[in-house]
Amino acid sequence: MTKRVTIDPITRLEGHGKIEIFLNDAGGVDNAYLQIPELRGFEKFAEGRLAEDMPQITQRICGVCPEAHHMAATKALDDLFHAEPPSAARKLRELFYSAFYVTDHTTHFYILGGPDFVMGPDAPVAERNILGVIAKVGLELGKAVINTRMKNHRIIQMLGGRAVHPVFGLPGGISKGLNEEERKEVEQTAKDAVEFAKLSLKVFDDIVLKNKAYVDMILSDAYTHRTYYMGMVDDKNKVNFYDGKVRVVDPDGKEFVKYSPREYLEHVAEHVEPWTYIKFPYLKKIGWKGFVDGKDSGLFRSTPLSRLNAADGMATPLAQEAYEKFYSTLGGKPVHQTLATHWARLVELLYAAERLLELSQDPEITSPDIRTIPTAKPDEGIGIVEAPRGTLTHHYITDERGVIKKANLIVATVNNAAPINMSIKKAAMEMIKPGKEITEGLLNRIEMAWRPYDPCFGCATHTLPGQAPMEVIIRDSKGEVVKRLTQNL
Amino acid sequence: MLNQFGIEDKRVRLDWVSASEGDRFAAIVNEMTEQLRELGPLGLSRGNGGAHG
Amino acid sequence: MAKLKLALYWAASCGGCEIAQLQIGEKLLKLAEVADIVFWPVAIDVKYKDVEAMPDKSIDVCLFNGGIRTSEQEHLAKLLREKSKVLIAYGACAYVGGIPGLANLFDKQSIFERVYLETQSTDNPNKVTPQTKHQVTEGELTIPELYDTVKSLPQTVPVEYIIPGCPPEEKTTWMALEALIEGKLPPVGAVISHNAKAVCDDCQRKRDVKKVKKFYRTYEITTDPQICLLEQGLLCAGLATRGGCGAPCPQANMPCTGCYGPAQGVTDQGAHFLSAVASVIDSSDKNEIQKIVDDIPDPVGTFYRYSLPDSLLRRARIK
Repeated sequence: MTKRVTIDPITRLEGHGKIEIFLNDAGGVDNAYLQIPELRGFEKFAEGRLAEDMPQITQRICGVCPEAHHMAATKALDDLFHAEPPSAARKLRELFYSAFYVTDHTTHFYILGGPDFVMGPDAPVAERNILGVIAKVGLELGKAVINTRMKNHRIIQMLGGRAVHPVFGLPGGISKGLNEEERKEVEQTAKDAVEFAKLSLKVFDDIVLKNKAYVDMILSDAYTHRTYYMGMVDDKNKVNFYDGKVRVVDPDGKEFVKYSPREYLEHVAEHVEPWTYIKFPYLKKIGWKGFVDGKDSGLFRSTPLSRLNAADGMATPLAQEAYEKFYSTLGGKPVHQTLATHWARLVELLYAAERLLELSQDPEITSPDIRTIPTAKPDEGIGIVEAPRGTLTHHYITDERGVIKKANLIVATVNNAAPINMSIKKAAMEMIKPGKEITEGLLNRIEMAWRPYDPCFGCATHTLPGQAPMEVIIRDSKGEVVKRLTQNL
Repeated sequence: MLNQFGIEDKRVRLDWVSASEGDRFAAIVNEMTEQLRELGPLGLSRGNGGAHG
Repeated sequence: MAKLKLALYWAASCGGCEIAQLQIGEKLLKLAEVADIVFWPVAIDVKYKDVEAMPDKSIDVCLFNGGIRTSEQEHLAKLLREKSKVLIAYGACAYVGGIPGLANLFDKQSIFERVYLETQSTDNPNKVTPQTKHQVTEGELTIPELYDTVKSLPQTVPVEYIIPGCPPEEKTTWMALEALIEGKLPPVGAVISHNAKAVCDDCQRKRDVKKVKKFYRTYEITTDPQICLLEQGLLCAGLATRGGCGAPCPQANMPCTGCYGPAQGVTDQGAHFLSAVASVIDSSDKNEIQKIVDDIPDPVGTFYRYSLPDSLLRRARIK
């Protein structure tokens, strides 16, 4: 009897994300599909628009990380209009972007992805949420979580004009700078953020690393894929979110390629499947080999873990210490264990906070010199940043008036579309075995498989309770429901 | 802007007719009607939520 | 008093409206005291069939964000209309179509061609495009159908109120929720915001009826922070746009792009914006005017940034 399992983890009412698992006659897993049932077509309707409107238009792809689209688009405009921003503008953009990383990583770790991890997969469902986390780590830290998010959002608004969908990005600069009073506020927020990030790593250490069962789970095969890893690095091969070259390492950790934004088309291609609206990027020089990992498959991952794997270290001292501890604990580079992504995210949180502090103390940061007025004719521009959820590429071609003729976007989460499919399949295979009763554990394990990617199309980024509500329906070949499992309903 | 909407120049015309120019008024209206008849309906309702999207 | 039954739903949107709803912060707790959330796909798992099983009008208030783009979103809009006493279009996409509504300049076919066949990074020798039904080795997989035209919520079903913005500012969201909590709802049809006048009324910049000889692109000039942006030659939508947002964009030295939708009493926001722009042109010479207007290379994307589906024409004609 053929069975299929439909999981609608992202809910959205059969919309925006659905998992279908097909079982074979013996009752084992045949295959698993993650489907994305919507397309908005930004790459088409960008045509005819003004290039300088792209930072504000493309950020409507995602209201959770609009800052990333705003910044990738703004950088593409610098390239398009051949206008190098003044040093202060570059620093202010990076300051803004660091504050964004602090809020985004904090949200993911404490409210979305972290709870089932901090509380453990076998903790009662009712405890695996932000309230459970606060109960475990203490009310003081809970308040710090809320405060950190609020204060860093305030920085986003201060510079960007609005807290959601900022407006300040222009080719060759930004529309608004910082005054001394604002700078002081940013500096204080940054100091608090560094302390908060240190504390977060300590919490991780106390709760997760000192528990052998957790460490064993991180290292288990069910959550391991040997893939290529992508991440942006500076000229010393240190992790950078705002600028640099994209570096890819192979499954053995050796540099496979390091490319500048202008060269991305030589290295990344996208595959289309008929059963979903999302495309599947892969490394062009290796090729699309299907949903398989290993050195011969062009699939790569682009996550906090990937960025750490793809770099030689962190550019700030405390984050570098955390980076070294990360690899010494997990047995050297690269780390293939998907669950370690949560830890990598905290290492990045510390880096973002330290970088925010450095920039807030930069003597140039209150300079009013924040614009280079473009004088060259626009033609073609490519901008790449690291979004929290992966490498984000914007590519525009315009006519000489700066009207978009072609736009190509490789959006952060999309990079991971194929690996997320594989992770779900592997976790499902681990849990669904012939003759073995399907239990609630299936739901937890499958959720834990896709959580680390923090996929934006899923409500990993939106779900409040810290655990996706899920329903698994198992049907026989006639479509009759033979078993229904739910959690958080 | 109407070109961006896919609407031909021939569909829009601005003319000034004095109250005393009755014949001219009729001629312009007839011309315009004839022109529009040739162009056919706009067909803007296409795909507006119908099942054939 | 019985607790309010509240539902929240998202259609073709970006998630920014959800973030905006969360921005009310600790006030969420106050909301939780007076309302039970019976349906919120981002946070609570209630299925299609569960909503279908609810008696008609059993939801007191439904906040609906996002435009209508797929068969599924249309179905949900109709379903939630039946089940809700008060249906509110939340945010620019639900209200007037939003930025994804710019897709109405094209159709599904050209979007598919661009996204799946043509984009420079796409490698698709067999010309595969997503299908609503597809047979894989193991069985059939389905995805909803995409429409040619993006519609707003009020074009799909009648709504009682509108909360404007992309996304609505925190204070606008709270103003609406407070009215709900206190049962002090405005007359049906109202757009809820702090200012019924245009964004210019919120804006601190000075206006002195100065006219312009040239329109500039945002990157071409550095503006005076005290003076009206339109009078400095930037295409600011403030005059044509409902206020209540507090004019944050002009404060950041960038023009208003119109996200709060048409100003009170205005039917077509883009046409109104266009006429506001025409009124500041400092010329009566036909050729000179043409030259000035030629500096606006993308009128639809400029004047109808958020409201193309809500415009009188609704979409472009595809020949």
